[in-house]
Amino acid sequence: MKVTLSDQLLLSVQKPARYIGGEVNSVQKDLKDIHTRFCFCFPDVYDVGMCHLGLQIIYHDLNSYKGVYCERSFAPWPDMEALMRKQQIPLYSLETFTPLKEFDFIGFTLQYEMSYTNILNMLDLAGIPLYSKDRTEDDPLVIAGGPNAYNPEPLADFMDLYYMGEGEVEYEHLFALYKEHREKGGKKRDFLRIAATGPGIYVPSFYEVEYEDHPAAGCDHTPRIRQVRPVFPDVPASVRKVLVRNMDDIEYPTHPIIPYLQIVHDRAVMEIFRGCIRGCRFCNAGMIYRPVRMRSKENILDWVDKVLAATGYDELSLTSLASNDYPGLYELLKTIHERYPHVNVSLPSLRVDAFSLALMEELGEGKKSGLTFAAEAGTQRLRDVINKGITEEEILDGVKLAFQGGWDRVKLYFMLGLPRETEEDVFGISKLASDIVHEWYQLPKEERSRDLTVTVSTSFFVPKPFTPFQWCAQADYDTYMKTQQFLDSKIRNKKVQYRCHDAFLSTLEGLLARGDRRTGDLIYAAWKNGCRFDSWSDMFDEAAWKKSIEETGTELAYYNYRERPEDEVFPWDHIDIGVTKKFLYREFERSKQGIVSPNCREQCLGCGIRLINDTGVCYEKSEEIR
Amino acid sequence: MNKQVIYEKSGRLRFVGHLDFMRTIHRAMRRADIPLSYSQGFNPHPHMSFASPLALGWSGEGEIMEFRTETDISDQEVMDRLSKELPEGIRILSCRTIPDKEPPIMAKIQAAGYQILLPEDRDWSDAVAKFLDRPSIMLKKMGKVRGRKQEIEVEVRPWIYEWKMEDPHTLSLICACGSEQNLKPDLLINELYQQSGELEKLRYAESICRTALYGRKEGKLINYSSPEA
Repeated sequence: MKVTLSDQLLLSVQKPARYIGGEVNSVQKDLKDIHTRFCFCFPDVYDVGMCHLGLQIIYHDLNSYKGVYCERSFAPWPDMEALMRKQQIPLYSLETFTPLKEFDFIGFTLQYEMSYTNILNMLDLAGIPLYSKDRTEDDPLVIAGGPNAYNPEPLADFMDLYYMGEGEVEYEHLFALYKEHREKGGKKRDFLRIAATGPGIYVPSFYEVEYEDHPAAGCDHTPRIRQVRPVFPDVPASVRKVLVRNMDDIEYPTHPIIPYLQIVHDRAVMEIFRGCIRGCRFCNAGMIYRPVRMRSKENILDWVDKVLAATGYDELSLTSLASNDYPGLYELLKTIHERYPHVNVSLPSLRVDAFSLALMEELGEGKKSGLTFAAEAGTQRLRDVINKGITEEEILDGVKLAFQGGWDRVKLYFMLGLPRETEEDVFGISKLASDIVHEWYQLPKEERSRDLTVTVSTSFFVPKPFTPFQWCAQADYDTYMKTQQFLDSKIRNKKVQYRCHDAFLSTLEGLLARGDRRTGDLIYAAWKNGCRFDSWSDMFDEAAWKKSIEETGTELAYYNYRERPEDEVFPWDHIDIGVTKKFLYREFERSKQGIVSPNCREQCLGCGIRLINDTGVCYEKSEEIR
Repeated sequence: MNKQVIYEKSGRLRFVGHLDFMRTIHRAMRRADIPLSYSQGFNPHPHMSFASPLALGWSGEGEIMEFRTETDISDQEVMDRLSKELPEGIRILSCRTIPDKEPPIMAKIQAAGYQILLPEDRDWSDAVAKFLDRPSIMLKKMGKVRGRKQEIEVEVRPWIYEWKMEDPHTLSLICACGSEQNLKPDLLINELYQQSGELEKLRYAESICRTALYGRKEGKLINYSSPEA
């Protein structure tokens, strides 16, 4: 069956280009050569999902396999959803307009917690039973991956299987097994038994969660997890993530799909390395993407040539978790700039210092956009607690140089509610902002630009799985808001603007991030109560979420406000990201003492990732770095 | 070198808005390695212009764009290279080199031809004749009064130059199009529905194809979408 959309329909929704497919570099295949059909589902609107590099990587990787066809689908915006429901149009793929229900696999990427209700909504729009247990041979296998998949439990009841790790590694093998199984006449559902024994695959229904008999300390009715164990002897007790050994051995999506619609980040993207050496204690990405693996300069340049030729983009973003940590960044940029003088190159997550300012000066050719400092905490003491290796001196030196160079917009990012935060740390945020303004006034009038804006933005700290802070209590709503009001009252400098937001979303994020199988009921209830696009502030329905928490008896005291004891069995303990729980706890202990830990290039701290692989930063020789 | 390209926009590309469409063409030019010339300054933009934006949902059979190249390139070369890079739904019909001094196409357009497919549930011949044969048609549209945006009433009958029913539900129309006088055919059709008591049709989006763009010389319409013009 093929879905057709009438002109009438397309002309009555906003941005119809979201729903038409057919973009340059999208892939068309002859279905008669295909044995496995996979639909990559991004649980957000097209314009957001199409910015995602992971989508382009998986899409082109999967489509490079013979007999496999990977298509795409996104969450329709509510105006489109309403019409689809009214006209009984099922959710379809953009490549062939095939209903999702007809695929062998549909794969969701889990990028952020607040997209979970969209997943249920997409399944529902596709006419696929929401719960894995209710699906039959007529339904596709529903698989999920991405960074949030490492805590698979909140969505465990809705997923048939999970892929743990980097997409480039195991899919080809998985599909080969699937093909073999199907050719022998095997049933789709029976394939799960075969898949579960392979690398990186987690089938939630093959694991049983046992709970304690009594509620956890300080909680009303929610008991802790006693253990999670497989129900079949050949299913592994712990599922280890799969990772790319050598970033230069894998393909790069040099022909990314070019959306017609202007999307949020409309540019060519080149990933220069994966992972982060820094080990900030609040950061989930810094742990789950370990170890740091570089792409060589030669390969990057070659791929940049290909990407630009295949897209015609005039903007290029070199992405990583921390640009400065790429050895030879300057030479790389210089070469790109020489080859493509008209291409605008941007570097996200660039640390501001003399070096990077010179770099930006060269890149921007006079364009002085804003500078961003992710200071995260207001005092050195608290930055040591969270292991954010940036000092006040570095920040002040950085802005001084920037002001001399003509920059006059500074953005500062902080988190409120960090573990061990005191009033002094919060006050430190406003003090740092004032000190930056002071730095500006230190410059002679003729040397500084006309006006200065310093913007302070705060978000609330949310403890995440697989971080040293996974044991931490999360501050409650009132504490969050009080801290925010306190800071607001302290920011008195006219040149400083303060941007903040409501804390309830952070509470929910924390709840879903550290949720377990019982949290699935909450997500289901929220979806039933009409929640979707929860990460869009204009769509977020606070009342519906509160109602759902109440209906399901979800105890925030258990999931959010409780500091976990050392022996806590986490819902994600049976997932192995290579970084050990022991190491994370050691880092948690060091945070309590305010001890800074060196980064991976300075000294190996034995996080565990070295033992499960043989490349990357763990095996870098110092002469290779410089 | 200044080039003028006549092209067709159809199929799914009808649902790509004008700004997104321009970006699509620009990227195709870059992929095709057309030596586009750019403006100077901090934000260089390509010397590329379109005769008249096409509304979302409409197709165009003789759309016109112009651009300047940095170095010489033959018309055939432009056609060959660009055609290869364009997505399905944009088709180049012709390319020619135009004199440097030529005013931009945008300034020359004064009228456009449309083919409008009306709902097929009735014969529209009489209703259309009754509607268009009147000496005056007043349309409400958004306009500016002393710089402020508000709804205004405009007399549009003089802006309709030619019309003909091709069959019981296909209307061909040539009417004003351009920066001075502009008549959007969908507004006209809405008024037709109201006048003929077909109010439920107001929600209907008819299929509209812009068949040609015209200028005027000595009072006579000339078809710029035809390569001979």
